[in-house]
Amino acid sequence: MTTAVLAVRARRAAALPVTVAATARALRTVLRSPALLISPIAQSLFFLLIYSGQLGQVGAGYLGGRSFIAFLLPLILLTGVATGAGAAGTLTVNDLTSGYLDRLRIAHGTATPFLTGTVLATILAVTGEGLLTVGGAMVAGYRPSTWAGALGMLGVMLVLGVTVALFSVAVAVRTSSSSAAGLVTLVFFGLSFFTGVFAPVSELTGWMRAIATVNPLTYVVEAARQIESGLALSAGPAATIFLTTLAVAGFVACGLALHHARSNR
Amino acid sequence: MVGENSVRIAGLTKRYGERTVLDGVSLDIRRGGRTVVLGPNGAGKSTLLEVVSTVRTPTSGTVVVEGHDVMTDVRSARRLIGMAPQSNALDPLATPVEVLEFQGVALGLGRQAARRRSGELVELFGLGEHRATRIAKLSGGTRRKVDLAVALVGEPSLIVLDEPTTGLDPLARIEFWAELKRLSTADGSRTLLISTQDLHEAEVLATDIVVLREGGVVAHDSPEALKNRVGVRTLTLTLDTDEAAHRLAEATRAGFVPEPGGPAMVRLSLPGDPAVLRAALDDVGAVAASVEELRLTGPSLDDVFAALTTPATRLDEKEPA
Repeated sequence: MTTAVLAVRARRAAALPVTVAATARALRTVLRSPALLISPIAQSLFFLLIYSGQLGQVGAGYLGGRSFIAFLLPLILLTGVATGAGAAGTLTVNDLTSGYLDRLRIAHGTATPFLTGTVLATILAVTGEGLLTVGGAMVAGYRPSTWAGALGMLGVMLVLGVTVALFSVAVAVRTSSSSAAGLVTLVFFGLSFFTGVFAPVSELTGWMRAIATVNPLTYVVEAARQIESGLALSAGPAATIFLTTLAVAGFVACGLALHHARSNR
Repeated sequence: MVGENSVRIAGLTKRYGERTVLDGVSLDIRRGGRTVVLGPNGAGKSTLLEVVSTVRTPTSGTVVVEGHDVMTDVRSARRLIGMAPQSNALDPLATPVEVLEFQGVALGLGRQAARRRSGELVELFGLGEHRATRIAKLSGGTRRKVDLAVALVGEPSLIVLDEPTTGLDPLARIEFWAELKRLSTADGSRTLLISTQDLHEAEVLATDIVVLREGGVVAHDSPEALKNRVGVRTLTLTLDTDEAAHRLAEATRAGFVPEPGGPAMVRLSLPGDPAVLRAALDDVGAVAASVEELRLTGPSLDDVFAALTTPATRLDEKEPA
């Protein structure tokens, strides 16, 4: 066989099929990287078992009969989402430092479909991880108030996951550093513990209550709890504003990082 | 009209902040040739290739690939370029087939066309037995073949290879060189632009050589022409004793000097001057009874490279010897 018979001339690709292929490729990468997949699930289930095992009885007392594990689950999902969605940054750094993203960018003309594919694949993986965590919680005694409520709780956390993934990708593009991209996960993970972790914020006192009150993640966790239990969505407006702001900031951060990369080529 | 040159570079400068990596490079790359870019570390080889392959943008100057300016008509230029960067720029968790198909989709081929093209390239590079093996598990040589195959997915007119055989074992290197030569000769209009630190690789592959130093072109010609310009042949004598070698080195009219590190050896750099040759033969005649071996070697790319590492040397400004 000779190259003379290979008569293929590439044309400019439409963004959608490339994004779909990039999502499939990034998802395949996640599925073939056990550490990226297992860590968030193992971490979530570990926290769930330890916290519910040690505090389940006590919590049931001060929660006025509400299930402690149902109260805890949104936070557990949040920590899993923060860890899982951070994989978007890791995957981006890998493609950047190997030169593969440059190669794909030159083939297509822009890196956007490949970065979008990475974010989408990460969210799909995080969705699977979240469902497994909910399944694990059910084994540990969790019973959803309604299935719609449980899915709604997961949905809120996935929106948060999109923002974590966007910031991770932005930091990855700006720094090409895995450890720097990992800081995004660390920030969300850390902030998640300054909410009403084991008790409602109204039960907290002192500096912890002050921080939890101003911590936007408090309202995201609270909104997820209200959706799960079918209560009135008092935290909904604050959570919506925060998540929308965060998502817009994530897109802007990605745009700025890409602009910086373009300017410094 | 694009003429006989695949790439035309004029006044190309690339700066990173205060650091100038390429300084007013002007160069024409002949279509259908294998142009090898040589130079010491930091000479600007990789940057030159990255600018030509549109990975990086020039600070000033123009680069035109097959008639398309990489700044003003970058999309058209990119369709004609296949590049294999210095490291294996591949997805280590994917198989060769997956990487090739994905590259096809990125280039704008439909799924079916990408699959067909991938199959053709797997066959072309003999990757059949590795088609389902993850790239991370392939040998260095096979990985480099996949790298080259990926560069060819879009049927490029210009293939840019940055240090393509770094890290390969000798056998894999020889196989890879054969692959590159085959690609080059199978389609006479395909141009290869290759950077390397390996002078032997340049000797094997190059139809044209560009030597860069400190961001500028110090020579650009065919390997033979560059060797002729350096023009120095070396006469090496091995004598039966150190004493005979010292005696010759002291009494020489032609200018024999002891060979560093070689016991009982002397050597003489022979310019084109016949008087020096005659004097050398007289010197040899005087120690004829002690001569064990006489060797006359022509200039190599090593000599060319060594000559060009001397500051202020520009072979394109020198007259042939």
